[in-house]
Amino acid sequence: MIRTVAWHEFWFTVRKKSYYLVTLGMPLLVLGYLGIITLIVLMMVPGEISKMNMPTGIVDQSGILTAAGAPLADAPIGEEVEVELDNFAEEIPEELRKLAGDTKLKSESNRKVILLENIDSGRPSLEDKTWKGIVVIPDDYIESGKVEVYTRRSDLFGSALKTGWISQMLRKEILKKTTLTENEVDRIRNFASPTEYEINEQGEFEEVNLLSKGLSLGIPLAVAGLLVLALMMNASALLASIAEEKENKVMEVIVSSVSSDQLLFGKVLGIVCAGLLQITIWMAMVSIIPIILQTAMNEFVDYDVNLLQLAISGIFMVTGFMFYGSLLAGMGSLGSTYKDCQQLSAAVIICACVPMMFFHAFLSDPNTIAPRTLSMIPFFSPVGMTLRLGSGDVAMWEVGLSFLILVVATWFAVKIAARLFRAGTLMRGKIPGIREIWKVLIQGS
Amino acid sequence: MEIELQNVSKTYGRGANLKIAVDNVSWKSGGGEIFGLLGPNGAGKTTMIRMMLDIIRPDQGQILLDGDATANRTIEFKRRIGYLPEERGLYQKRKVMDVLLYFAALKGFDRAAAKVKAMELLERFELAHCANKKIHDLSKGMGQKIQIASCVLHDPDLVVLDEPFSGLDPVNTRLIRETILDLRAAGKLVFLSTHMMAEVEALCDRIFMINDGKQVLYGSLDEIRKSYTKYEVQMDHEAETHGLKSIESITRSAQGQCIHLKNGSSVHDLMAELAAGQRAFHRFEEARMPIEDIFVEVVGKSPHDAVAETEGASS
Repeated sequence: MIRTVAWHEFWFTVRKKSYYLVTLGMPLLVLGYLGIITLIVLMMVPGEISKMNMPTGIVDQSGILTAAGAPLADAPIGEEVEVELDNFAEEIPEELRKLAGDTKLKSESNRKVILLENIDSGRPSLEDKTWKGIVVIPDDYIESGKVEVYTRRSDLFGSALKTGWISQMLRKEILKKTTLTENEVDRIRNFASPTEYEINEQGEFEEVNLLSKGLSLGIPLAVAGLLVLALMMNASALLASIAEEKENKVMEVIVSSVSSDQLLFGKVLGIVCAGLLQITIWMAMVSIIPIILQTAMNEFVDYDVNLLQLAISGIFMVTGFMFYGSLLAGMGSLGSTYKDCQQLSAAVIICACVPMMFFHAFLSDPNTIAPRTLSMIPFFSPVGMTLRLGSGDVAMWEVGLSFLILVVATWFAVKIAARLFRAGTLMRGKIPGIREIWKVLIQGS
Repeated sequence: MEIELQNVSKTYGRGANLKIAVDNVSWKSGGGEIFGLLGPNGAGKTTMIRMMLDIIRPDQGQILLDGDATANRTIEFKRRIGYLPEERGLYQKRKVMDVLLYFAALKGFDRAAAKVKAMELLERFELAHCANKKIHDLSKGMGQKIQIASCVLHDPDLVVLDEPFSGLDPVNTRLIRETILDLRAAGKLVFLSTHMMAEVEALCDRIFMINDGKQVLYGSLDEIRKSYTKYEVQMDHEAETHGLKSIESITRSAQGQCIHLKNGSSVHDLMAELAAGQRAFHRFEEARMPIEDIFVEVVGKSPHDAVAETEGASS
């Protein structure tokens, strides 16, 4: 009987036009949105707020910033100094401002910097995350226009350490010269081009491929986003199905043929299957994005799919669907109309979305207190753990504990939902209050 | 199939909100009969049907199915019943055939066999052309017939019909009446709950009347009507009946006088009194009381008033 109800729910859900449209159209919309967010974060956002006051190490092999009169001329090695950049543009004579282009000569907020002799002397502070990063200005900077940026690997947003202010400092020093070579003019007109390095798992610096970086940020976010989206879409289908049966007064005929528990499990199972089909199609579409980008940009995109991570995310997803689906069906059954059902189950949907609101915390450092807590609470863990798994190393015991809590919570959710559903299937009239719902849970019928 | 309720009670709510929906009722019914369930709205009929079908469970008493107190909780029992509830409907946006096949599948009925049977029933109900139409494209009467079809499609042994004639025109009423009689002829137990007393008289073998949750009448239709029999006597004038000891009361009409006998008096006592007194009368006949009058007498209001009252209260 459960299979009959499940098949009926699945078949009528996947045959709806809205299902086709969302399944095929929404991933493109979400990926486009996430792509823009990722791009903004990687390219423009200077980093976490907590990093705002962190110093940046500078290794000036070019000698431009340490020459006489330059901002770091008297800076002691290894000590923090503050560089003033707030009246930058006004100090430049007008004819030179025109040479650089006015818009490129902007004042910046003052920065804390530490002058270093070499990259290794700043490495401990980089690993301790007490510095934003280290910028190396090579001796051929005037010719190449390139700088090297070193950040810590897990510091996801650190790779986007802004180098615009360093370009401004360098530009200002070059402008002090009376005669300019062609290369120097080029350095004034253009920003420094950063090459980024991160510390890899072996403790060595490794060049960062920005595209790969974007994907490693975007894909877990996309997976979690799609899970939430699939949940919202299919939750809506589940509620519509319950409301349809109640509004059309079919429920009583059905519960004379199957028990309300069988009806509940059948409905949840059918919706879980429809949701999983949707997610599978979406994942297939997501997995071809690196290939499309690689072809479009003619660049090798180094992004390995972590199958274990994907499998664990899948298990969390299925269990999460059962957890949310049971609660939605239980709460939704207490309403008489689709609107009632939606109102009653809104809290469950909001819970699923909460980790997405903290996605920055999850992606920047998945092992801090907020992501760890959210990934342990069953209302948030299906989405929370997916985000954590995608953005860094999570201890296996944490994954196991979170899953165990989720399974136990799902068992309770099914029991609670069965009680609500038994009482709710034949309930009509106004939406029950908290006291009435509590009474149903206690009395069981 | 034989079904028996033994001292079954059901209450809703607690404390000051306690409502006794069904109060210690007992009855028994078996295959090959049409069992009428009568009573005003809110009397406890639907609660009793739901308990019988294990949609809700009684607080006290037991429901025996072929002598087994737990059999109505099994999936096998659910497959043997066809239920048309009073508050009913269909999936409005779905096709007739899809709906019929889904309901048949819920009863464990084979899909291919269900398709053949569904077409047979649609033809019988003159709805074969609607098989691929959506429910919302059908009239109310057509929808009603589809629901009855879904109720009997899987060849159930117990058919529970709650107000099956509501919304039907006389032609379709006759069609459904014939279907019910066919079910009885096929040895099925048909449980009929209705306010249409003419249908009760035309169809039911036995009836059970409930009021305020309590059993007020139970037995074969003939026995019940016999117990409410009155005698109509046409006499010359009013004075002819004065002093007759066996008479409780008299109702006058244009045709004559309707005599109600005292408890313990028989029609023979009345005849003897009339003969002994040499009182002239032109006609003496047994007047069977219509079931509607019995309803009014027992419940205190007509079935139609009872419906109107309940509808008024709920709106």
